[in-house]
Amino acid sequence: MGLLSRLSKAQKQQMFGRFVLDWMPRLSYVLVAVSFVWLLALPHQSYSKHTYVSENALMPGSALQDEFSKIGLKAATQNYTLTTSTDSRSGVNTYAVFYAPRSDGTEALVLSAPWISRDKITNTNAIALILALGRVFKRCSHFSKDIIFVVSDGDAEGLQAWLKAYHGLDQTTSDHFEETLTVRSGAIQAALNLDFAGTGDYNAMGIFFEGVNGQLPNLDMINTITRIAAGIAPVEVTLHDELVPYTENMTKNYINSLKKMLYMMKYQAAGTPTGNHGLYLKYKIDAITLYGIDKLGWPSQRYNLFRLGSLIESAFRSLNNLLEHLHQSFFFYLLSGVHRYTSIGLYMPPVIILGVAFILQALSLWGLSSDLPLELEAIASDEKVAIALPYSLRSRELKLAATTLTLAFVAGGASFNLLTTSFGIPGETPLLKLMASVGVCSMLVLSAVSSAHVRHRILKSKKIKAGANAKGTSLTPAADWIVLKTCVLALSALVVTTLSALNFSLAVSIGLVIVLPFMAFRPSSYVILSGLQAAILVAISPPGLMMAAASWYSMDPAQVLNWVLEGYEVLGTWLLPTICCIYWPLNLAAIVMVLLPVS
Amino acid sequence: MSGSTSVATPASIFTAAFALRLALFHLPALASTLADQVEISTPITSFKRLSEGVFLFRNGVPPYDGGVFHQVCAKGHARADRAFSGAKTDRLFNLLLSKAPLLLGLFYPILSSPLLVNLLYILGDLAIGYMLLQITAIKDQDSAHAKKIRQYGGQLESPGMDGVTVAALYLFNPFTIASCLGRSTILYSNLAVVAGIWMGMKRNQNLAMFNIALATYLSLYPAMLTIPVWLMLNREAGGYSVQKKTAAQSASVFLLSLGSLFLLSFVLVDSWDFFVSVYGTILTVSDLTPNLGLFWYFFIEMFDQFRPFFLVVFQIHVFTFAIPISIKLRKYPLFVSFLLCTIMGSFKGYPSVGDASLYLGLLPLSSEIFKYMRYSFLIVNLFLYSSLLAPIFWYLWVYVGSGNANFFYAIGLVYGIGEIILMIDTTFAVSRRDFELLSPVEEVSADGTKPDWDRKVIQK
Repeated sequence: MGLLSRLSKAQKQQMFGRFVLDWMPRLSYVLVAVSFVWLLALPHQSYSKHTYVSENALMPGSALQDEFSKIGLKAATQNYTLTTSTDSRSGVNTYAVFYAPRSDGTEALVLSAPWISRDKITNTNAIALILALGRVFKRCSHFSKDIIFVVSDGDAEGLQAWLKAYHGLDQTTSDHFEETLTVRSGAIQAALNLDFAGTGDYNAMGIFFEGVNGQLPNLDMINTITRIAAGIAPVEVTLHDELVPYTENMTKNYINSLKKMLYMMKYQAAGTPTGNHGLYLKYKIDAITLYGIDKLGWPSQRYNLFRLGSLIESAFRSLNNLLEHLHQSFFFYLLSGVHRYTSIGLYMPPVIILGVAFILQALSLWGLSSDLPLELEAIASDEKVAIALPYSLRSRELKLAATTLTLAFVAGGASFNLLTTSFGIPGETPLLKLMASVGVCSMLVLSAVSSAHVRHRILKSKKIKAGANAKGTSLTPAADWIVLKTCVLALSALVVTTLSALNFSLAVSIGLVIVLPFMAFRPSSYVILSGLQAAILVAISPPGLMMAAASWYSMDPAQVLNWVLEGYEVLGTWLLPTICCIYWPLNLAAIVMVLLPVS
Repeated sequence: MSGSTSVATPASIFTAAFALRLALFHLPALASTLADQVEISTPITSFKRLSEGVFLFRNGVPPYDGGVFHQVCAKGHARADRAFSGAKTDRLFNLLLSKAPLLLGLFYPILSSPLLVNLLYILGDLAIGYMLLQITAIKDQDSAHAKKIRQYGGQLESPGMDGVTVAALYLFNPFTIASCLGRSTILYSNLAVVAGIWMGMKRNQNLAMFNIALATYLSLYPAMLTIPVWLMLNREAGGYSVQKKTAAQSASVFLLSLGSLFLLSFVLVDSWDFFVSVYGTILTVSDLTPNLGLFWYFFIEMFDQFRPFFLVVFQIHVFTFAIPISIKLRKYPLFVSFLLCTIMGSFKGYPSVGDASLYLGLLPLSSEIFKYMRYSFLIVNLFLYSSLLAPIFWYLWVYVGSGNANFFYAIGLVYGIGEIILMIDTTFAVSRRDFELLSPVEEVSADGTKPDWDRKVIQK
C-alpha cells in the first residue's frame, strides 16, 4: 500500500489532470533542453570512438612499382546534354578501362577526376595522376578487379551522365541525353575521386564524403585512406578543406571538433554532394573525394604527386582485396575528425527526444480539448470527485484543423510544381515563381484566419442569444487553435523522426528551427503579440530562411534559390521537395494557428 | 441521412473522387511507382503478375502451370502486351465474354487498353463507396427503431455519421487511393465483401452469400464473413427454428456458389491447377516476397522441419477469432464484419494497404462507438508513422544498402501493433457502449447530483 492508495480519488484525479495539463508541457521543454545539450555534447572526445578498420579483407598494399610503360587501355568518350528549367548543359566524358589479368570482368573499381577542380581551376595534377596510374596498373598482374578511369566534364552532371549510362539508365528525352557507353566492365565496387588542382605540391589532403541527400559511404572507405596516409605514404589528412592546428587544450579541441561536425552536418543537410563521389553513392558504390590542400605556412610536410600516386596505388590494392561490397563498418555516423566517429546509437537519441517533446506537448493539448479541464474545475470548486465519463462530453472540432492542413499541403505541393515547371513565358525566373507561391500561401493564411474569425463571431453571438435559457456547465468545444496546434505538433514529431532515418542532419536542423516556436507559440489576446509570433514564423518560413541564407553568405536571394533548384533538377536532391511539400505546409499551419481567435 | 449538416452531396463526392483518381492515373510515374511498392502489391494482388497470367493465357500457355503467378517478371509485360494486343481471337475468348468469374477472364478483353483498366479500378472504388452509402442508410433505418441511449448531459445520443461522410472517408482515404493507383487486385475482393455486407443488410440471402463466396473465391479468408452476414440476415428474426433454417440455407447457397465458381474456373482454364496455385500460395505462404505482414520474416528464418507446424498455427490463428467474436458481439454484425476484416488484414500471409482501406472503410459504419475509444490519437499516429517509415526503410534496405531487412520488418511490426490496438480499442468501445445501453443514466435527482455507481465498475 503505497502513497497513491492513501490519496482520495479526487486527489488522484487532480494529480493526473495537473500532470497532463501543467507538467507535460514543462517536461517537453526539459526534453528539448536535454536534446540540445546532447547534440552539443556529441563532438566531445568521450562521446566519439576511435575509428577502426572493420573489413578484414582490406589489407593496405605495399609500395608502388614505378615502372612506366605504354598505356594501351581501351578508351572511349561519351557525349551528354542536360536541360533544366533555367539552362542547358552539355559536355564530353572521357573514360578508359583496364581489364585486369586475374579478373572475370564482373567487378570493377573506378578512379575518376573532374576536368575542373573545386577551386574552379583545371584539375591538372589529378588528371596527370590518372594517366600515370593507368600506365602503372597496366603493368600489374595482381589486380583481380577491372579498373575504370573516368575524366568527367562539367560540374556534376558529367559524371552523373556517365554513371547513368554505365548502369543502363541512358535514355534520350526532351530534357536529357546520355550517349551509350561503348566500353564497359562489371559491377563497380568502390570509387575514388581525385581533386588536385594546379601543378604544385600540397600540404595536406582533405576527404569529402557526403553524398546526394546526405548518403554516406561505408566508414571503412575513409578508414582505409587514413590508415594508408598514416603509414605507407605519409600525408596529413583532414576532413573537408579545413585544416585544424593540433592542440592539447581541451576547450579548443572541443570547439574544433564541434566545427568539423557542424561542417559535416551542413553538407549533409543540404543534400548536395561535396564532390563527384556523392553521385556514386546513389548506385550503391562507396566513394570519397580526395582533395589537395595547399595552405601557405602550414607546418606539415609537403607532398608531391609521387607520394600521392603511391597512396592511391595502395588504396586500390586494398580495395582490390575486397571479396564483396564494403558492409562491415558503419553507414550511419557523424565524424568530428578523420579518426573519431560517433555512431548512430549515440546521435539518434537527441532527435527522438525532440520528437517526444513534440508529442508530449501535443498530448497535453489533446487533454486540454477533452473534459479534463472541466473535471479539474469541478474538483477545485467543491472538492468532490468529478465524474470521469466514459467519453468526452465536449466534442473536438476537427473541421478547421483538417481543412487548414489539407490546404496547406496542397499549397506546398503547388509551389513545388510551380518552381520546377518551365512555362515558357518570357522573363520567368525562379524568384518570380517563388513570389507567386508566396502570394498563394498568404492568400491561404488570410482566408483561413478570416473565416475562422467570422465563424467565431457568429458562434459567440449565437451563444449570447442562447445564454439566457441555458444553465449549468457550458460544453463549448475546445478552441480551434488548440486542435490545430495538436495536429501541427504531432505532424512535426512525425516529420522530424522519420526524416532522421533518411538524412539525420536535415532532420536535426528542421527540428531545432521549429521546436521552440511551434511549442511555445499560441494565439494571444494582444494583437501585437500574435503579430510578433506570426512574424517570427514568417522569418523561419522557406522564403525567410532563403533571405537569411542570402545575407549570411552575402549572395543574391535568386542565387540561393537557383542553387537549391539546380540541386533538385541536376542531382535529384530532396532539399526542395522536403522544404516545399513538408516544411512549408507545417509552417503555414503554424502561422494560421497563432492568428486564430483565442477562445 | 439523418440530421446531416454536411454540405457535400453524394454526387459531388463521387465526382470529386472520380476526377482525383483519373488525374492521378495521368501521372504515369506515380501509378507505376505505387504499383511497385511492396506495401501495395503483394504476390497475390500484384497487377503485374495478373498481366503476366493473362499474357500467357492469351498465347495458349496454361497460366497456372509451373507457378507462373509466383514468378516476378521485372519489366516488359506492358510492352509485350502492346505487341500482342492485336492477337487473334481464339476459342477461349468466346467463353470468357459470356461467363468469366475469374479475374483473368475479367481482364482478358481489356488489358490492352490502360484506360479501360484504370476505369475499371476507379469504378470499383466508387461502387464500394456507393454501397457504403446504402449500408449506412439501412443502418439508420434500423437504429431509428432501436432504443436510444440517454447521455450524461441529458440529451439523447446523437446519430452516427451520415452516408456521405462514410463514403467520403473511404474514397479519400490515402490507402484506398494508393491501392487503386497501384492497381492492386485486392479491390475486387473488397468489392465482393462490401457487396456481401450490403446484401446482408438488405436481407437478400442469395446475393449476400453469393458475394461472400465470390470474395472467398478471390482471396479465401473472407470465408469467415459468412457468420456476420448470416447474423445480418437474421437480425430481429424469429425463433430458433427459423434461424436454424436460414443457417442451413445460407450455408448451402454459399457452398453452391463457391462450387460453381470453381467449376466455371475449371471450364475457363481447363485444369484444376489454379487450385494449388492460388489457394496453395495463400495457405502455405510459399512466396516470401517481403510485405507489411508478419509472416515472411518469420518463415524466412524458420528451419524447414518446423515450417508445417507454424504454418498451421499461423493460419488457424487467423480463423480462430471468427466464432467467439460473432457470439460475443452478435448484436452488432456490422462491427463483427469490420473486426474480422481487420483480423484478416493484419494476420494473413500477404496483407497490403488495400486490406487496410477495406477495414478503415467499414469502421465509420459503427461511428457511434467513436467517442468511447481511448487510443484514437495513438492509433492515428501509429498508422502515420508506419506508412511513412515503411517506404523509407525499404529504400534504405533495397536501394541505398545502408539498412537491412530488420528495418523494414520492424515497421511491419509497428503497423501490426497499430492494427491490434485499433481492434482492441474498438472492441472495448463497443462493449462500453453496450454497457451504457444496459445501464442507462439515472434521472438527475433533485439536488442535481448524479449517481456514479456505474462508472466505478468500469473505471476501476
